[in-house]
Amino acid sequence: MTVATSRIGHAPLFLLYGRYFSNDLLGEGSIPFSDYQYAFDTDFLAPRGDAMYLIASHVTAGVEDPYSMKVVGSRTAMGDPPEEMQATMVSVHHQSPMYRILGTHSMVKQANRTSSMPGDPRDDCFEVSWGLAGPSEWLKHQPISSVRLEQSLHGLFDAATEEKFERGMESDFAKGLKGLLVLSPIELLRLLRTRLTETSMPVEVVAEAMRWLGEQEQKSIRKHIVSLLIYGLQHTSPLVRDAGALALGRLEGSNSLSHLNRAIADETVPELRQDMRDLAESLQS
Amino acid sequence: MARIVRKLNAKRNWDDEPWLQEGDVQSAVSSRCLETKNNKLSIFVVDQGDEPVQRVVAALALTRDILDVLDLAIVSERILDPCKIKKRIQSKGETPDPVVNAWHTDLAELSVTQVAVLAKEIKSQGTILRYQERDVISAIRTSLTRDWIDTTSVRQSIRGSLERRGVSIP
Repeated sequence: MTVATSRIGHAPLFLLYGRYFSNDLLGEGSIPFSDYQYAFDTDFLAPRGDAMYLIASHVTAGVEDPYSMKVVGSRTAMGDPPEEMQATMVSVHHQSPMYRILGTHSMVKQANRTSSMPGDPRDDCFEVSWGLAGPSEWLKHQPISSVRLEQSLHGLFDAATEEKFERGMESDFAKGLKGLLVLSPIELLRLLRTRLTETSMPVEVVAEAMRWLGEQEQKSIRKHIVSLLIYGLQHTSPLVRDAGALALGRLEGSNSLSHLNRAIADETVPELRQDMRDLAESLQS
Repeated sequence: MARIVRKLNAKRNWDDEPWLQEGDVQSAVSSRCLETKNNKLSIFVVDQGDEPVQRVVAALALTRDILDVLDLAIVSERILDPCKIKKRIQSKGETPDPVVNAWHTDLAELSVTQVAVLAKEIKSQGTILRYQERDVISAIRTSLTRDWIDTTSVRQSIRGSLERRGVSIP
């Protein structure tokens, strides 16, 4: 099997699972295959690079294990793209060894011959294995507009309202936030504060955001995160206050005790007050 | 008498709220903590003493993506009578501790009423416990030391999370 290593322009990637990225964000040219997958052709990608950077970094940041994703040949409602486009797509590759494309041009051609739209896109997918766990330096330096970031965050929150969160399990929402954080940390946290303080925001989503914030250990953004977690401690919902306390304890350890002690003094729910006391005690020892 | 251990997803749903009548339970419990699948509810049946519960804590924590607090309901098996829950199916759990897996049971053929009574019985007769991260780590260390864990089935994500807190899984 040949490994394609060339690349074109700044479009390293042309299909990803796109659950969080609505058609509204991606605009015309994206082809929703399912709730989880979108395909893009390189013509579409070129002017919309930042959207792709978002998605790419979302995926790279969201996984620790080698990630398996699907790549499909470019297809549009107008039919198959020209053969050279297919060849181009197969050879698209990142400048860093981020992706290892295991397919070949001939595989794509074969795949496209044996399936037709509409159909299960997985039929004409071939596997690309994800080479590295973290976002590349290249991705980190891609500019992203504030508007685009806000749109992406909007999409994430929309999807999050449908998600069922489970403690100890990394949610899709958290993975998405992690991806966006890589691109523009301070701006993301600014936007996040705005969203989290909306009174209409479901408390489960706010609590999950708190939990995720407690996992972010980057020193450069620590004070912004701590500030958001302190906001969580004062939230009207016990669920959020609980999540805020746990996240603050995790992130700051015994340095969080002054905030926790204030929260304990103010806490009106006896059971939560006791949990906060237990947390404070565990941080002291 | 054996005890039932059930992992909870949202401990706060068990809190008393001013709008609740005495002895009643928030309805969110049924969807967040006692959610059934095919009318079955997954539990662990353990003997008396701390050790089996600690062992369940470690086993459940190791099925997760990240280290976190773990909330449990622990209650005597006796409460199944007032709930009129009769059907129990022994089914293998999916944790990395084979013995804990053998303790896994499904309460089956559950009705809405039975789940509601179960929730009230747990609240009135049982204990809602939170294991802080420190306690979860301690339980995991014990299980690892005693060789209770099949480390080959521990996922990479939780390994990484534990390593950041100084716990290495071979």
